[in-house]
Amino acid sequence: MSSYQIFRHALVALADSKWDEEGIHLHNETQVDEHRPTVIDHHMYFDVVFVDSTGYCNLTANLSKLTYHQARHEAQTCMSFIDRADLDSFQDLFMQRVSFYRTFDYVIRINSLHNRKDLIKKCVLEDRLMDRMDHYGRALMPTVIETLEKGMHGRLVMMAFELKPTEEWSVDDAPPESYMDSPFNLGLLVEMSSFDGLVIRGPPADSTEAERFRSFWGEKSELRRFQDGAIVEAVTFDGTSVADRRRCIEKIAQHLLKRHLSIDPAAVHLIGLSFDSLITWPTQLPVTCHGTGEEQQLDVIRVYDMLNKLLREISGLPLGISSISGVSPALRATETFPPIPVSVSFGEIKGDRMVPQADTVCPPFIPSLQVLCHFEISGKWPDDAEAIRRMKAAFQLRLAALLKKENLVAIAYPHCTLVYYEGYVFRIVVAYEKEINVLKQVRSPDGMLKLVDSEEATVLERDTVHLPKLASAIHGLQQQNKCFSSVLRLAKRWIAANLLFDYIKEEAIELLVAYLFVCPAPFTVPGSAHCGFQRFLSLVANHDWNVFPLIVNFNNELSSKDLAEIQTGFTSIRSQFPPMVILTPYNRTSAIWTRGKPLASILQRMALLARESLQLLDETLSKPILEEGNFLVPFLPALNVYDVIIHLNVSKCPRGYQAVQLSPDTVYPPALSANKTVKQLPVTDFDPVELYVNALRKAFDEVAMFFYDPFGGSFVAVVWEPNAFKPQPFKISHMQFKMIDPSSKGKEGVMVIPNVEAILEDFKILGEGLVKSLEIHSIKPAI
Amino acid sequence: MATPSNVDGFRVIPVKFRVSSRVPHFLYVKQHQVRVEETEKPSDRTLLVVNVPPYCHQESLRQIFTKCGQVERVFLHEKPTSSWSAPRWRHFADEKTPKGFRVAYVVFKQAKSVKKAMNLSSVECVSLSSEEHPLQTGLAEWCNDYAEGAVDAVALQSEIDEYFSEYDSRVQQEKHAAREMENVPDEEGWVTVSRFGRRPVTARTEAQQQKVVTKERRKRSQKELLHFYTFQLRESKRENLAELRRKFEEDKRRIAMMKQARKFRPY
Repeated sequence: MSSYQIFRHALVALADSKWDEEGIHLHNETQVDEHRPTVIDHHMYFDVVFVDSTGYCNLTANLSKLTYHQARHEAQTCMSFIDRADLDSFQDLFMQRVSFYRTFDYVIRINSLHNRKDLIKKCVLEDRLMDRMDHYGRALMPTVIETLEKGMHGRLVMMAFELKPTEEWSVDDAPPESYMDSPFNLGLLVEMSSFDGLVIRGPPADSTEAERFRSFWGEKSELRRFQDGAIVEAVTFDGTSVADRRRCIEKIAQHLLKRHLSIDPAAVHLIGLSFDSLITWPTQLPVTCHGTGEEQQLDVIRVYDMLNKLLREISGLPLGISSISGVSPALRATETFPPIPVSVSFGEIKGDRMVPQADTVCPPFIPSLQVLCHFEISGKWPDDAEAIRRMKAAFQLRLAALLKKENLVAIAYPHCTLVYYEGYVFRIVVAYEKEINVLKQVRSPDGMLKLVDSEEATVLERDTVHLPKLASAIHGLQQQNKCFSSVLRLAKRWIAANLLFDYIKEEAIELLVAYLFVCPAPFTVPGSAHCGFQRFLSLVANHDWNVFPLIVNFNNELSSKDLAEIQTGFTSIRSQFPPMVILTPYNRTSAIWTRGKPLASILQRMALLARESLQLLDETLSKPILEEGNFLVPFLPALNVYDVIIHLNVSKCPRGYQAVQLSPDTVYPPALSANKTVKQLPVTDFDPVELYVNALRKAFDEVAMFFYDPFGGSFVAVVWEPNAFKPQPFKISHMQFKMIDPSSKGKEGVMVIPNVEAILEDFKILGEGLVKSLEIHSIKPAI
Repeated sequence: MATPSNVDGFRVIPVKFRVSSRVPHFLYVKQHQVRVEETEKPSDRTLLVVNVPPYCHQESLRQIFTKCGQVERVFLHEKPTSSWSAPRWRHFADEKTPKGFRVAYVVFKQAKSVKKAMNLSSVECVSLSSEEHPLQTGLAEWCNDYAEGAVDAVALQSEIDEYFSEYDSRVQQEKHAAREMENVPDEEGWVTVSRFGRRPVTARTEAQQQKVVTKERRKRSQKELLHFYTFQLRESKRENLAELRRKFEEDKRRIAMMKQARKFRPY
């Protein structure tokens, strides 16, 4: 046997073992020894039994049941990864530091107990305390775990106790306070389908177990009649939103530990919900459910499904609809802040739509949700790119006219149709598959038609062919994993908060997070936003983009042969790929989601930020006292590295309510009024901040980079481009925003430099009405 | 030190957004000179203006240069270009009004205005936005842009109809011409066939060509005898060896890369 085989056998044996029920032994049973205790005897005294060759010594005497379960669980997970071809299993299983907080979905932390001596007395555990050498935590732990396991029956896959190395102290001294009493952490892997259940059904009221159930749960237990007619003892918890329901396990832990061990509920914390506040709706928002937006997302998708049905039923179109696909992130529940339904119209009525006005309140931000509509193929489609564009516009006009007949507000544009439906605005785009081919066609001099990749065709192919596939794959993943959407939303929030959101394609972020769920090695699939987000940071911080492409193997569609092929192809032409490469079964050889964006410098910065954020979180989590405010720090960018900060008027930012830290001037969208009919299309996709940044980029792209947070950011950060500041010779094509360098009067002739003072003034002029003030750190690039 | 008034044949004219603005941008103006004359931009009457700030409209340039004589037209472009054609299709125009810093061509009524313009003061600052002609920027401009983004369904439909009536007649004409030319040899005796003829031919595309080539190759390989001649044996041996060498080199490279990427270094 090779060493690998031995290792593998050991793992298999551990994964299948049951040392807590039927222990194993190494002694020779043919040698009769009447004094030797049997394995059953060992089980009476120890949790886990593995007897050595003498038959007297239990090697796992000090191993707790929980730790054994954890080891067994690790062995099982390891076995599931070791054979997978799409993983570098050695790297993942042996080379990665596995942090406790990244392994478990939730962690229950029980802080130092002031009444520990009374506790020990109450539970009659003096013997155990002596056995554990005055370590209160270890003495109390089995009782705590037993209580919690009973209370959370069916909600957990596994519970584990965090093992910490014991610090040293001199033999003459008394053990330090921290030895006897440090907070202890219990890691939980939850059962996604049941962990947030609000009701625990107990035994029927007249059964014998009812008494035991009542005494276990105390006053929480009450007699309830269920819909199926059963009258049983039950425990219920309040909670309306999905976010509240997640608090359920904390409530159980606090209640049970208070009841059975008199541990103060204030000392029991559930770690794993700290990031929820970042994606929580502020209470001022007019939404029916103030949770973390899950309900809102379902509502958007519900309305989209209704629209889908309506479109399919519509009659009067010259061609039938062959497929409809929602491609906006909100339609696959991955938008960080899903749109809020609006019915009150803002602005001035102009024809059949509302138009914003500069001097009044800024209308609420209503994003249009893109829906791609493919029509049946027909020989009547023209085969000329220009003619196809007109034909598509004619379809848009017809579609809008038909939707109007259904009493909807619909407006046709040459490229899309905007329709207001049940509080949301949808952007229906007509697509025609053959158009890509038509755009690619080039007639060579000898009259042959060739297909040549053009920029326009590639973009169209990406948006009408690849995007729908990716959208459905991501949506599928989202439906399989309850917390996928929250991890993804946090990831987007983090990138946006660090001002990099428009330097990377949204789909690339989605694929990064999808990778964590498709290949969770060395962990199990994340079960909470908290641990998923940390793993996302660790992926961004540690992935070596130069050597490995990130292959997101949706539904295991790629075989090991395919994967090897992709990897070799990648290695041999690495330089032709962009800095970040993410491949999927749908784009095996071309990195369509990362082409052009992000740049190498941005990727590097993202990795650096991820590393720092991760370190910060680790520090926050390792402190005995948890400061919730510290969890926000990775989402607050350091502004001193930027050269100029342009502060904006918060009252003119319609997305202000999405900010990490809300300002008192924030404007909130108005409430939805049920009985008001909307006759005009509300102001759509009108975000002054985005328009401002676009105007700045259009004008000063060569001289500076602009960073902002699209989710409610109230400032734009500017970094000067070092190369633009070198004096250059006078040339008509490069005279934008330049002035004559007064110091240049040498032989090389007149030199020009950027007119920084005027540019700074332009920042204000271009954003009149939006810009509050400029904070200038430097008028020259740092290098 | 003051900015020189003339650079490289360009006159420097400072402009400010409004009177209260502190710092000026500089317009660089010069007579338009090109080898190929364009009717819209006659070189003797046209002034080239470089570095036009983003908020400066055609109207404001007109304001500045009426001092030198009547202005006929003002063109704004992203880059210097001599050509210009009126956009025919309003809804399907490729080029929207350029944003950012641009170049402008100011066409005067009379040629002498250009000379006058070249002597404009380079000390006195001209402000672009005035009481009578305020310029819209920022929020007001975006609101305006939004309002102007409206599309009239009737106008769009009629534009599409116009295009298609033209397009259809063009296609018809092509078909007609192709039918006419069928079986009519040119002076060298060649006959052009097209897919519109009585006996349509397959389109000449790359894919089609590829198909034909592979078919031919397959046919030929079926006929060919393998490992029959000595030179064939020799060649296949040589190819095998080359392939092996190539694979070996590739593996070597891959191992080197793996070694480099490896974080685990036990020794």
